Amino acid sequence: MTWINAIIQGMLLGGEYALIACGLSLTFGVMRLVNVAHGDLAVCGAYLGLVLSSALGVPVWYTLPLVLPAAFVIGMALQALLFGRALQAGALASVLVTFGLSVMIENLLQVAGSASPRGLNGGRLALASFTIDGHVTVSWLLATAFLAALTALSGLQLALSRTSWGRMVRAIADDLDAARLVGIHVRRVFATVAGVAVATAALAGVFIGTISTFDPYTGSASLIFAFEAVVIGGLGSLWGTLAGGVVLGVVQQVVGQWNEQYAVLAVHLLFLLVLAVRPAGLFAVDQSVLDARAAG
Amino acid sequence: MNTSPVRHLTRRSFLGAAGITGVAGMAASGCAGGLKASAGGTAQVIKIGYISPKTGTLAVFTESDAYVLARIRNAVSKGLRIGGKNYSVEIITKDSQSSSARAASAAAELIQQDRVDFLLATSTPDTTNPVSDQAEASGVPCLATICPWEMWFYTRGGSATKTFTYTYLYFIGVQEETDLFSGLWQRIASNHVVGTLWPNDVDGDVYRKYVSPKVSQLGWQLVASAAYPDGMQDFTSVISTFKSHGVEILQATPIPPDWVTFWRQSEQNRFKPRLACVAKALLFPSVADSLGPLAQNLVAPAWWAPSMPYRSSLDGTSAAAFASGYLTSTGRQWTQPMGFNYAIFEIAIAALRASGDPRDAAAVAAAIGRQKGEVMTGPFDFTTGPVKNVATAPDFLGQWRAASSGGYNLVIVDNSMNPAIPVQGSLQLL
Repeated sequence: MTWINAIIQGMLLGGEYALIACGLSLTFGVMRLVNVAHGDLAVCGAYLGLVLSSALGVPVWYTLPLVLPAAFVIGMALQALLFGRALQAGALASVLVTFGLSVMIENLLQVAGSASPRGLNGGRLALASFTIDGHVTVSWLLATAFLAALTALSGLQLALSRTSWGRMVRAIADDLDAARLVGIHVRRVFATVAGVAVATAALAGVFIGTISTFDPYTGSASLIFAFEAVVIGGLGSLWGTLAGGVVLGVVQQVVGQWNEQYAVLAVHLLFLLVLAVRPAGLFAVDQSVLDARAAG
Repeated sequence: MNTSPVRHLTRRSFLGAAGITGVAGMAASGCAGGLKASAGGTAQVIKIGYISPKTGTLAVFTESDAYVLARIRNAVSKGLRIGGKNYSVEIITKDSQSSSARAASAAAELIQQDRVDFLLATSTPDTTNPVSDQAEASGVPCLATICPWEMWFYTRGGSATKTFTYTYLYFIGVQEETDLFSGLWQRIASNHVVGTLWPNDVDGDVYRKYVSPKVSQLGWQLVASAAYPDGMQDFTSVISTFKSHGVEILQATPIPPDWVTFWRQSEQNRFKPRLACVAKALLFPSVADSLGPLAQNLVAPAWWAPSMPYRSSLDGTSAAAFASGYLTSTGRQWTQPMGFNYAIFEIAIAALRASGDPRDAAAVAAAIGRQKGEVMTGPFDFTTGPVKNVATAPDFLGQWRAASSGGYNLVIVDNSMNPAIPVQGSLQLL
């Protein structure tokens, strides 16, 4: 029974990883931007939630209508000021620029707050739980995080496949120059994509803050898991990101049930294994399939 | 051929200019140094170095540092008179950033660049041990605290035959704390199943070494979590193991953020032991506040409290006045490290005075070993410690209770080590 519990907890934890990873997947898949500051932007979202929920004296969920739009605007601003220029300078430049951004954010947060770890007030939701079959206890918070990841990913997938904005994004992801030729205003679309990515990062940060604690340096640890989820799932596929996150979570929990010392190590070993055996990821969109579709 | 009227900067001219500037600069600083030395000080300066984890996961230990340092600087503002000479006291602080590597390099900076006469280290073996090692190797007198003495002495290689010359420690011990915890466990009715949460760091290793034999001595069942890495975000596997074994008594020694994560996830997963005894993480009101109602009746060690009837040997401030001064100047509730961080300064100053010459490192180090008296944290005696370099302090146990004015108070529920300190409340179960 403990193993079934471990698998269920792992799937829910995987949802949390997928939520952190979906913004990263989006920026890399569409903009070809490696955003090393993604984890730190998630932590910024958590700090924003902390400031608002302490100021207003309410559980952090009520501040989400303020935090998410603010994060969207921050994402657009970052794109206009930073990412756009970095992308013009070449692929390596974007890694360096976002690395610099990451270091800046961490130190600014440490100066503004302190290095002490904080937690977010999750209200009653954070402590409630329900039991399945009388044996497996599931916390409502983890279940909500999983549902949020599911909603965000399916919402994004729907937007990408059904809306005109989504069509523009897919066009840019397929062929940037052709999209420009067709008349798509690439910079504007990038701005909205960056906004969406930072907004999902902020949402993920709020969940991290309620499930565990965060401090100015938590972003780097979250970034590693997000990257692994994206790579294991396969670049270019949002459902792949969810699958990647779930695989990470399940491996961590199952190995942790056996011995907690090796739980995180097992996750990294799995990542290396996937890179060695199937580098494109488990659910990668095959480039040859895309070419065949384009030709025929 | 260079025909333009502007003289271009060539490599040769640049190197020439740089060389001249460098030589001039060295000559100038040499002269200045010479001038300074020849002036001879009118008042000589004793430098005391102080290393603590101001930032990082252990930052909560040093919340009160600014206040403690301000009080000490105030108390020694008139200087010290030792061996017929006047000395002013300068305190230099460094941040160990909760990392052993950084603590060692901070100690090296203080010893070699600032040339301190006395080194103080505080707050967990991650800071005290590397600093003490550097001090012992360089021959600088050093006093450490807020690290259980076995963790400081044995982990650094001390033994019955090998003691240290320059480094000393004043604090409680793990063996006495383990005895206190087990005494508390025997006071309640339980199913005798003890669950333990020990991370993969120095504190975790030492508690594992001392508590496991105690539990088997009692004939009880021990359910130990594996040595998890500090900063682990998800404890559900540990919690489900505890639940399946029916753990009713919990002993934990995590870093403060891990305790908050673990205890919240315990509540989410409906794991509620009868007693949770938390060393290291629950010493601070800020951690209790972040737990909110979950902090009620958690057991934590209490080695200093304002209710203790002791005074500062420097300016006579009572423990209660010391704590209320902190409340009025910062608006924050007293924290336990305040008392011991203040006390090591008191002992350092007493040793410097007793040495006759604060520049003689060996004399100062020997003087520390002869010190006994009473400081802010109570009576201490280096001559009757368990090992040569240690003076022990008595340990008590307290429970966090919600205060009527909001926030949480640590209420002493066990005073078996020193009945002179009054018990403030009776033991309650979770």
